[in-house]
Amino acid sequence: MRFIFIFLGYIAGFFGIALGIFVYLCILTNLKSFGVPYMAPYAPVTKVNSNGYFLEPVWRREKRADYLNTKKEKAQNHISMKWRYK
Amino acid sequence: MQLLFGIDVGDTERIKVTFQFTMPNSSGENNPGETAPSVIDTVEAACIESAVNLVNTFVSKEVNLSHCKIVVFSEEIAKQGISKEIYSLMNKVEVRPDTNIIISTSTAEEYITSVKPSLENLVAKFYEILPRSSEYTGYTSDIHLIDFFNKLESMSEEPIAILR
Amino acid sequence: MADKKIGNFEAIALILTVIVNHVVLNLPKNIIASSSSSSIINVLFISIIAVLIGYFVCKLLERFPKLDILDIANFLGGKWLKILTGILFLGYFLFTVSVVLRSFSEGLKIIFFPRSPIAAIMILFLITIIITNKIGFQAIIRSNFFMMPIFIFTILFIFFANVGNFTVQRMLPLLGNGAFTTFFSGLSNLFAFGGFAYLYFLPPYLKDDNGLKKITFASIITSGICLLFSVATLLFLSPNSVITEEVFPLYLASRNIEFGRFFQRLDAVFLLIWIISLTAYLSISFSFATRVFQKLLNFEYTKWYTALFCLFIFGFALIPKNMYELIFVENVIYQYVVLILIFGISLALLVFANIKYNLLEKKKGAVSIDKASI
Repeated sequence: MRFIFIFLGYIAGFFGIALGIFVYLCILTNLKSFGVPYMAPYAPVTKVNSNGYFLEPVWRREKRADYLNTKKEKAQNHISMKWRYK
Repeated sequence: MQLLFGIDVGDTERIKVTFQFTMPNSSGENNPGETAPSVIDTVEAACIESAVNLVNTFVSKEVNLSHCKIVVFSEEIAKQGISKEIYSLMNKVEVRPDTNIIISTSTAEEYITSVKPSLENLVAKFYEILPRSSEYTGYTSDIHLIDFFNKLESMSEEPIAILR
Repeated sequence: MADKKIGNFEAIALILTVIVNHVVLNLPKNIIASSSSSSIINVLFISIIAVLIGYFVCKLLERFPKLDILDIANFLGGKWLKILTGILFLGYFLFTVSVVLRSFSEGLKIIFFPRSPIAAIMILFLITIIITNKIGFQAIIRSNFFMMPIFIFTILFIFFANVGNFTVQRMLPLLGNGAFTTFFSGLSNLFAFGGFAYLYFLPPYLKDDNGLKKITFASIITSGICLLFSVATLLFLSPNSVITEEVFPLYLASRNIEFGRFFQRLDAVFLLIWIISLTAYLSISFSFATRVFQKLLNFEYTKWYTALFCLFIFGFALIPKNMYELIFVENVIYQYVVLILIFGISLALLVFANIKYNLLEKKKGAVSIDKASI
């Protein structure tokens, strides 16, 4: 794969590499794995908060991912460890 | 690796251009008091482009102006007018717009050959830091090529440069 | 072709592409050339007028949900008006692609490839466009959306990194060449908002039916901000007589950035990002052109459209023989084409279609419009 970029760089320099990046990006965004688009949090966006640029770190997330089309949004209840407060 | 060049009034052609090159692999020296060797060449030409072409013929490496840090003009040519040289420098894509401009009271060739920085090992670093001393003195200023060119073209400002 | 839907943010990014790419080329230079120091006021004025026109267009398009402008032309005047509008828009898209392609290739040739023929650079761009069009429409839109924050970030970055070299006094004769030039003849600077062309074709592709209003306002306001920042950068950086002669003004502004000894000559990174943004713009325009063509003629054999149109574009792009002719084509012809076609003819079409809808509604009570009928 990297040979294509080297070859493009040889043909057209910097410019060829930039074009190669764009074609590569187009192929990537077209892929789907198990029905979910490959660039899932970045490319098709439905809610602003689940955009790839604005995601919180994993240990802070409350809702399940948007691209999965789940039935229940949160995996855990609001107070998940009920034994703590009893 | 071309470091700086100086422009004088020429004897037979229009201008005389002096180039100073340094060798890059001697920049890691540890001996104090020994400066890196630099090569100084002078050619006469009608403009900067043809001077670069002439120097390319007898220097083994291709002269690339993108590391150039200072352009030195002599006082004589500054009195005659340097707008043509400034235009040709600005139009070249390789020259960085933040090269400094120095005007020397002697000819540029003598200035370049006689500069021996005492506190630095490398001439390159000396020239880079030198105009920065305008941050703590008032007698000099940090003039870039783009500033000079803008003030030359604008109808409300006058261009200034450092005099050594 | 199976029409897949695009979401709200992707549509915003689509309309923004137009302005971001023209800003990189020669757009701020033209604005500064016409209204020298009042460019900022001019840009603000134009943005407000564009917002008003956007609101107007949204209201007019409300009556015709999920129909693009070709269907509206069909409703208004039958088959022939639809074919006429289709040909006009097709010509507009092809013209834009060839002008932008030629302009950027000239700039690239000066900076990076001084010894190569210009046809070579253009052929490389065209090959990329063909490949990405074969991959699909949705891929281009998604990758465009993915890279859009980076593109906008570069424009803002150039503004904020050049702050040390600014002289704000260059704004100072606040009304520049006079109030008449700023406000009245400065209206011709509205050609900056060429993204409206995509807005007219957008309704059939939207996932969210009520999103058209949000899309128009968000994209126009963001375009205005981008334009403002780039015009301000150029205006404050160099005097007028320097700016109007430059080839690739934002690139030259980016060469002044230095952050000490580490980040010298950052302009190459910017150029890489702008090449990517330009290929996105060209691909999108091209795919719209093929879709218009297909809608007009309903051919089933769609395999050779891309190659055919690429040949046309290549031919158009080689017509200006030197830089002077190119500047003439880009400034004068492109400006009037955009103004007349996008703001003149299309608005007139929409207004007349609304009037006809109202008349028909009074006569019959309910109007049904069928989509894409010949």
